[in-house]
Amino acid sequence: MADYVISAANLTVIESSLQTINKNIATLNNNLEVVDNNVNNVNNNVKIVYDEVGNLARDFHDFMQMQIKANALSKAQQRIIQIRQEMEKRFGHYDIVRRTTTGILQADDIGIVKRSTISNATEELMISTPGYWLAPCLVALAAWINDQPELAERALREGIKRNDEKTSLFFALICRRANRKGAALKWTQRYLANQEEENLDRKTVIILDAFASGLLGADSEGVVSKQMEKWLEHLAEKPGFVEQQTKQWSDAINLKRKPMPSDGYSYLRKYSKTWPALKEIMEGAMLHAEILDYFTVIFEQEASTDSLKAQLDEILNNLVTEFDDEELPLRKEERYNQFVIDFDGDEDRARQNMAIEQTAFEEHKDFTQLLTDAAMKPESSHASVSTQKFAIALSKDWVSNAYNDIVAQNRMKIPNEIEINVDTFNDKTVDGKDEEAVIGRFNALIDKEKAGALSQIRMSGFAKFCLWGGIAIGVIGIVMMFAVNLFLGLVAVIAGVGLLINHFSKKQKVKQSRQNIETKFEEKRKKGNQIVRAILAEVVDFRAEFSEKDAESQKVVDFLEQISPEQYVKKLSDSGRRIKVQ
Amino acid sequence: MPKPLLHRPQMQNNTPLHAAQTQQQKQNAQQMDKLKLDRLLRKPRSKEYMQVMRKLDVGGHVHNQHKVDEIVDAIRNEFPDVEISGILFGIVSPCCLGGSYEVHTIDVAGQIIEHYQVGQILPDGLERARSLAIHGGYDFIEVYVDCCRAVSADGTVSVIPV
Repeated sequence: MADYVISAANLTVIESSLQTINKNIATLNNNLEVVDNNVNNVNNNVKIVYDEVGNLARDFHDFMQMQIKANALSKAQQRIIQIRQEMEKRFGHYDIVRRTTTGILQADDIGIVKRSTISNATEELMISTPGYWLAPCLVALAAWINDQPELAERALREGIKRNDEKTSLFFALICRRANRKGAALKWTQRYLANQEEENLDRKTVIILDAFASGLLGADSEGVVSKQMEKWLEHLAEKPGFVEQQTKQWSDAINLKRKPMPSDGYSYLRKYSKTWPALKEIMEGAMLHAEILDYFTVIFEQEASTDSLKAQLDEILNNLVTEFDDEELPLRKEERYNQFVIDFDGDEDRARQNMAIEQTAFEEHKDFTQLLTDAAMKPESSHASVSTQKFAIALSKDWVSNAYNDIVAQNRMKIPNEIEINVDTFNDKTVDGKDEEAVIGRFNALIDKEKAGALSQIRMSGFAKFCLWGGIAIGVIGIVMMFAVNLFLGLVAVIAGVGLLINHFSKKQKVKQSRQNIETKFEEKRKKGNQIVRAILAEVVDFRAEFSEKDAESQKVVDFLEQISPEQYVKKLSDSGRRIKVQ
Repeated sequence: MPKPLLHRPQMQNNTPLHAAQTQQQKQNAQQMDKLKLDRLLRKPRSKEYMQVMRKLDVGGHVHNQHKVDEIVDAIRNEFPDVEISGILFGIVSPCCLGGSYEVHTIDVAGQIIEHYQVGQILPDGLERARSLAIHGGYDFIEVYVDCCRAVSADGTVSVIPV
């Protein structure tokens, strides 16, 4: 009782205190909310400030970039003027030579300028441009037009001394233009002799294309062919070269491999674990027809030389108008500054463009890579059909090596035995012709499995006992009915009959089960025989089809055997075309 | 008195860097030898060699050591610059003796010729060339440490790396 009073008095005090605390907490909460709001406001303000600062930084950065670009643009504009002045001062006379060469070529085409004028113009240029290769070439050209062989020879010697490679290419193209094909070939050979067989540029690739197409005349004396043989000999001396070539051609040939059609050989696909290997070798064998077709189409195709002629025009044009080596540093700088001006002072973009331009010009490859690419990747290498023929003919030893290896590698995978996997039957056949033996083994398995299954279907000991037990109990029951007690005897008779019924019902069931098993296994035997026969028939067909397709490899080998490089340097009688040099 | 510098190269010979370089040089030389060997073994086989190899199918060599020696000599003469028994495990070719005979083999080192029936396993790594010998249509298959070389009737060699 005393406890209750004390408790009631304390609770009131505590309750009021709690209420006070509550109120205080509410007030505190309100205050906190106010602080929170203020903090949020500050946060928002800070964010605004940050955004403003960010915008300012961006603006400042943009302004800086703009200023940098403006500076770069202004610098480039000034620099390009300086470069051009310097070029004009140092190489301005070269430009006159270039323009005169173009002019002479055009004038000779039209035939409206006197020979003496041409001669005078060139001799003056020779004096004013010491060291420039094109000047003596121009003199030689004029001397040639004026029928002055001695002067032409002297000038040529000087041209060759100054720049053998360019002089040779220039006269190769000029001779072709003048339809002097014998001379064109000799100049071409001289030009090619100046090239490194491991580092051919795009220009050489086009010249070889022109040679292969017969645009430079028929190489009856083997002038150019010998040069190529020399290249190949040099390359072949390198250790590992032949192996690399074989690999290169193997890869290129294997690219033509196609997947097998998804229909056909349905039983082998389903019932033989050997199928993946069979599929692989069949695809390998199908390659032979593909390759034969690929080569045949190339060699039967008529080559068009129109685009090639345009490319030759371009080479001659570039050769006559392009800059000399000593001009190159200034020309490169001029180009770079021009890019800077074009891109409004964006130096990064100018540098990127310079790099792209450089790569396009500096694309080099070795002679054999050129042959492989021309033969097997004409789309990417832009090779003409003539070059494809020529490349295949020239590389035929490596192609044959690579091709023979591919054939042998495919044959190595031929499975000697082909597996047959039908349900629980796992067997093998070599050629599918051992039907009787395989079917015999299949039937033996079915018999064994059937016997095993039938042996499982038996009456239990109790069911067997039911027959004699039932009879005995029934007889005892009858005796009891008459001699002891009618009721007990009747029960025994009923029990005996029950046992007999159980026995005969189980017996019937077993008979039915055995019949079912017999039917099931006979069905399996019938279906299995059909499947096994179908598999064996497909094995026979597969082996025959594979042999047929594989034998086509010999056609490819024979095809390669009968081609020769000389045969495919096309002979053009006369194009009669004039190169227009601008 | 000689300058110490003159002896420095000798001292460097014992450094790990020099040892690594020597090792590298050895490997390069071995690689070069291997490439040269590969090139040599790719050359088409001679008519004489092909003829001797064809005689195998006539039979009767199994128990005639003189003929076996003749064949093994022909193999050695085909590659006079190479110690062939060190790299050539043996030769497998299709057997035309009839019956259940499938392939025969020449063991170059052991100088033994043997005919094998269906189901008999070929020894010493020669089994890998069995299917190619039976189905490939080649005259014979030379089985090397690192590859098989299938030789056609005209002596052409095709290489199958292992």
